[in-house]
Amino acid sequence: MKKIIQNFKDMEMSTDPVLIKSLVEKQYQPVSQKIIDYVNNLVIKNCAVVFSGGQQLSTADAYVEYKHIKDLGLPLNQKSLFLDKNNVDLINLTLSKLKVSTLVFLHSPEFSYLTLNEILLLIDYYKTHTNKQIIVAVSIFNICFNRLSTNLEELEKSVGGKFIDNHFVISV
Amino acid sequence: MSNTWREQQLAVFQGNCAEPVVIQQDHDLVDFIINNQYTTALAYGDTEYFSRYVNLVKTGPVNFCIFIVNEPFDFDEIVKKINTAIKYHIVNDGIIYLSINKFLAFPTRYSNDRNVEYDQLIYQYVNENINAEILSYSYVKNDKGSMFNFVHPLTRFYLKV
Repeated sequence: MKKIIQNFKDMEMSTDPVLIKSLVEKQYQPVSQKIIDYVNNLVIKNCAVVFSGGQQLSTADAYVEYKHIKDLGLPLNQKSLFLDKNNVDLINLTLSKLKVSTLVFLHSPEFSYLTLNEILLLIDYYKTHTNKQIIVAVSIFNICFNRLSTNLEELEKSVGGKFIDNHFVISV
Repeated sequence: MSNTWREQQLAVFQGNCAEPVVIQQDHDLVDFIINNQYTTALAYGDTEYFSRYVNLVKTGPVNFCIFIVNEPFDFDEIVKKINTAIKYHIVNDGIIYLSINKFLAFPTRYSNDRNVEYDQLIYQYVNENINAEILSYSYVKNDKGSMFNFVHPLTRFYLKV
């Protein structure tokens, strides 16, 4: 007799951090030099890279974001933080101490399987609550949009972002 | 030796479960193979897992084809491959199982039907371009990544040549 799994949210998960890491690692998209250059042109100085991971996947989230930070050549120091996205007060308190002006979100797992509108809403939420410049780079393979009828050029104009090497990058 | 993505995903849940675990999409296809008593299948893409249930081949003539698209792809190329298989390898009344990871499609085309939902447009595109009749179509409208789409894609067709 087999147990059929339809939705992993209904199942108890292993607590093995290596296994949990693999859940998000599959969706990791290497960041190309074009994106690195583009983001670095947007980020002048004083940036902080904020991880905002989920509860069960925290180990995996941190691993994925760590790899993206390295790809982008951003410094991995006390400015790279792992924070709960729901705790905006903590984010503000920490960022104010670091005196940073820009937040960079890279392929945050919370952006996986979201529509572009949902991504923009999340960006707006952080911008409203932190008053920082926000830059997001997320793989198009994790965004829910119609690949058969979406004009990328028009979409870029309407949302203000840019599609570069299979990533969508937006700065607000 | 590295495990497949399916093996890694199953390992996350197996430890907490007494019975062997299987993902719904895999179970559905295996059931279809067994219930229809297929012994051979033309195979394209991410099909290795099903070799334990049916003999996978690269050429016909066959009456069953498994086509699982689970890496970055272009819709036109998929249509070409399937229609070529229909022409040269699959017999009349043969069945094609097509599973597509819709999140891995390159957005290289667009149409003026901007308001049509993606899932509907995939059905429309397959219906208009593949030389077979759609017997059934299933998809998950608001998949948020929790239903193992990257193990076995959830956008699925059964077609008849």
